[in-house]
Amino acid sequence: MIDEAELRELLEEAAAAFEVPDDGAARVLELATTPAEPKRRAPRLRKPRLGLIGALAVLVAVGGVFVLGTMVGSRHTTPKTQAVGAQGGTGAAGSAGASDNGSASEVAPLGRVAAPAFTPATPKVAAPAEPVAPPTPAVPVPPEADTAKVIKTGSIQLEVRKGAVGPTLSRLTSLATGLGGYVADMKTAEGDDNPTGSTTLRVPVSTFESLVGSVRTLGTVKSATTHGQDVTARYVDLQARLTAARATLDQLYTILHNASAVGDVLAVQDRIEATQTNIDELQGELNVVNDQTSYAGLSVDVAQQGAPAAGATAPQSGLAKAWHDAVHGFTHGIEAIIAHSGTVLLVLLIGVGLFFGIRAGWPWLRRHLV
Amino acid sequence: MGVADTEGLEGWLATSYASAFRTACLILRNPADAEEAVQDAFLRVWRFRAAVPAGDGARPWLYRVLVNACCSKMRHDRARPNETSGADLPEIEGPDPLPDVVASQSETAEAVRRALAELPEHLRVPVVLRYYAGLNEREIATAIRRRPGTVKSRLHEARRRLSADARLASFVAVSEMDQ
Repeated sequence: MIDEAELRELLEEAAAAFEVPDDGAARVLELATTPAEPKRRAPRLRKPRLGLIGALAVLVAVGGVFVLGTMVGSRHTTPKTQAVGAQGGTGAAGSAGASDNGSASEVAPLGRVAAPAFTPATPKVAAPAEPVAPPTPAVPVPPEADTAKVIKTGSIQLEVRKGAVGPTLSRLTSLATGLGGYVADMKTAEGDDNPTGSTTLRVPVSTFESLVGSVRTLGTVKSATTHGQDVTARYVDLQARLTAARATLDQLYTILHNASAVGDVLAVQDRIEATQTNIDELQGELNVVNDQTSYAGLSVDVAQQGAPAAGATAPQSGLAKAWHDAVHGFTHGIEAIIAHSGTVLLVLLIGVGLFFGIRAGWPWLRRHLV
Repeated sequence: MGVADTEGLEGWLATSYASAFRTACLILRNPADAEEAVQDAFLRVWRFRAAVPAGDGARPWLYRVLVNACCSKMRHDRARPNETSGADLPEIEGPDPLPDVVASQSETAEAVRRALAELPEHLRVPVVLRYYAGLNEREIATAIRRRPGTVKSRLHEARRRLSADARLASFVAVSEMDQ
């Protein structure tokens, strides 16, 4: 180890080799005592350049928000509904509106004109007895009728003559049971002059259209909506996962049979339990899908002629209307804030990124723009 | 050391300039950078002269400011390698050091400077402050804002590395033989 005294001498000798500027101290003291700014102070950016940088930053931020907003918006924009004429669409027309993931057809309020037999859109599904329509170039080829799984739902608002709400509900029950279905839910309100009722019928999918047609004959249809959702892919996926899980379970049982060490047995048993749980969950999910695709649901609201629509409130005026408007405005404001919070967050993130980016590149900018 | 008054501060800075300049030269390995660092440090001291501690605390405080200025200079040069003065790296490792520098340096000084240049910054600064500026370990700790134990271990490590330096070791061996 080098001696400290020796090192001190060496450093002093090395330091002595540096020539001390004769006027160094004087120059520093002169600089210090004069009121002028230190000579190495960085010059400021000229204002036009500063404005240019700011404008560029804003432009980049706005462009980024626009591009990202477009990307996000296009991802969320999917054709969900297709309006069907008041006279009802044909099966072919309904098929034309079918999409891979499902379709919905909405019938606008029909007034008091009873519509002809309603034939809702039946995407990708045809009754087993009906021949499959040839695909048109614009329509994707539907899957086989026996393999397609579609959840069908619908709702109809019926207006019946005075005093016919109860009999209509009874007739609806008869219709459902007659088609092999059942009444899943029913509510009636007969306490006042305007009795109303609503029921949810569940019938086999193949009889859904006939049920809808029959229901339409019971009164004046105020509105009708049907929806079909293709869950074939989900069903096939569930089946495949269930098959794989069962195969895994069989293999695990084989391994358990051959296992001899206690640790191995316990480990395999844990795996068996987990796999069995997974199988049960998959089977339950599959049962739900099976049930939903086997039975279609139709919600029917029945009201007397001249009665206010279900859920409608009496016209308001004065303070009540003002209060209602205030609550409505407040709710809309909150909804708007929540709806735009994503964009605001995005703008904030881009702004923070730009801030740190410009801050990091500030020395370079200052050297090259001044 | 009383530096409360302006005249006293001027005199103190004037007498401290040479030592501070050579300390900065040993740390930065370049006279031009050292001059800038000392200038920055002295201007800072002048600007904050009200904070200069009285008595024995003034010198470590000055070296603390100087070390900060040197570190800022090194950081600045690292961040802008294309705008360095160009005198430091060739002076250390280049085959052709500046003629006037070479002329004014003995072989010993050159060997010490090269050995110091091999040390990393966190070891070079304590060595220079301890064995050239003459600060004790506590004052060095104050100057570089580290604990005295850290300073001690760094000094030990620096001495070990300097002893292992071939050029310096051979020179030390020669000087010992001369003795």
